[in-house]
Amino acid sequence: MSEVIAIRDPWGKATTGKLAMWLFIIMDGLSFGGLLIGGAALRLSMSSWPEPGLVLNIPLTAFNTFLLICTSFTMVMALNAIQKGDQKGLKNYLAFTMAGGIAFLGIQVYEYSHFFLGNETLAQNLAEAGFVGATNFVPSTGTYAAVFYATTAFHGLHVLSGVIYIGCILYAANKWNYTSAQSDKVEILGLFWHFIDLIWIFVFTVIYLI
Amino acid sequence: MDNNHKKTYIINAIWLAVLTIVEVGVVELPIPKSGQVILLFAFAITKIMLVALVYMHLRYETKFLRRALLIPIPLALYFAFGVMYDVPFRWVG
Repeated sequence: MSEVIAIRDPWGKATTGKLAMWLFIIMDGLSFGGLLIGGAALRLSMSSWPEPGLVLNIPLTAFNTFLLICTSFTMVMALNAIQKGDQKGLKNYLAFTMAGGIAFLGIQVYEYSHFFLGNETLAQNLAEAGFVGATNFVPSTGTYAAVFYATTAFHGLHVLSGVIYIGCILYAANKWNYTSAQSDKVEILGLFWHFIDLIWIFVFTVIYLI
Repeated sequence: MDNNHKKTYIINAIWLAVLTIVEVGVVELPIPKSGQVILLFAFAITKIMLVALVYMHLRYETKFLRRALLIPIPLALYFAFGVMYDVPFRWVG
C-alpha cells in the first residue's frame, strides 16, 4: 500500500525574489544596527550629550515620520490594487508613494541646509548644547553631529534608492501593463520601502528622541 | 477592492501616527531619563511590529521564515555587548 507523505515548504508561497529581498533586508538591517550601536557606544563614551530637541528639530522630523508612515500605507495599497488587477490604482498609489519619498528627502535637505548655513538661534542652541563658538552644525562640529549625519544620511540614501526603485517599477508597470501575475514585483518593492520606514522608526527614536 | 484589508491598513496607519505623537510627548514627560528610554523603545518596537506584521505581511508568512528573520537580533546584541561591555566600568580621568 503506497503512502502519501505531504511535504510542506518551510518558506511557504514566498518567491525566490521575495526571499532574496528578505535576505537583503537582514543584511542591511545589520548595517543600520552597526551604525546605531556604534553611535550608542560613542555616546556612552562622552561626558555630555545634547538634550533632545536642543539642536535637532523634533516637530519637523515627527512630521517627516508621519509622511513616511503615509507612504507605507500608499505602498501597501498599490500592492492591494495590482493583486486585484487594478492597474490605474497601482500607478496612482505608486506615484503617491514616490511623491511622499521625494517630499521626505526635500524636508531632510531643508533640515541639512538649515544646519550647514547656520543662524543666530542655531548658534545659541549649539552653545547651550556645549558646542560653544560653533555657528553651524556640520559633521566636524563634534561626535554628536558625526553620529547624526552618518545615520540620517545613510537612511536618506536608502530613501533615494527607494524612490528610484519605485520610478523603475512605475515605468515598467506603464510600459508592460502589469497584471495580478506581476504583483510579486510590487510586493518585493513594498518590502524594501516598508523596511526604510521600519528603520526610520528606530533612527527617529535613537537619534532625535533619546 | 478588499474593504477588510483596506480598513486594516488605514487603522494601522492611524495607530502608527498616534504612537509617533505619543513618542514626541514622552520626551516632555517629567520622568527620569531611564524611564523615557524604556517607554520610547517600547513604542518604537510596537511600531516596528505593526509595520512588519501588517504592511510587510509577515503575519501571513510561515513560522520558519518568521524565525529565520529573528537571526540578526542575537548577532546585533552580541555586537552591542562587544562594543559596550565596559561601559559600567568607564570613568572620566
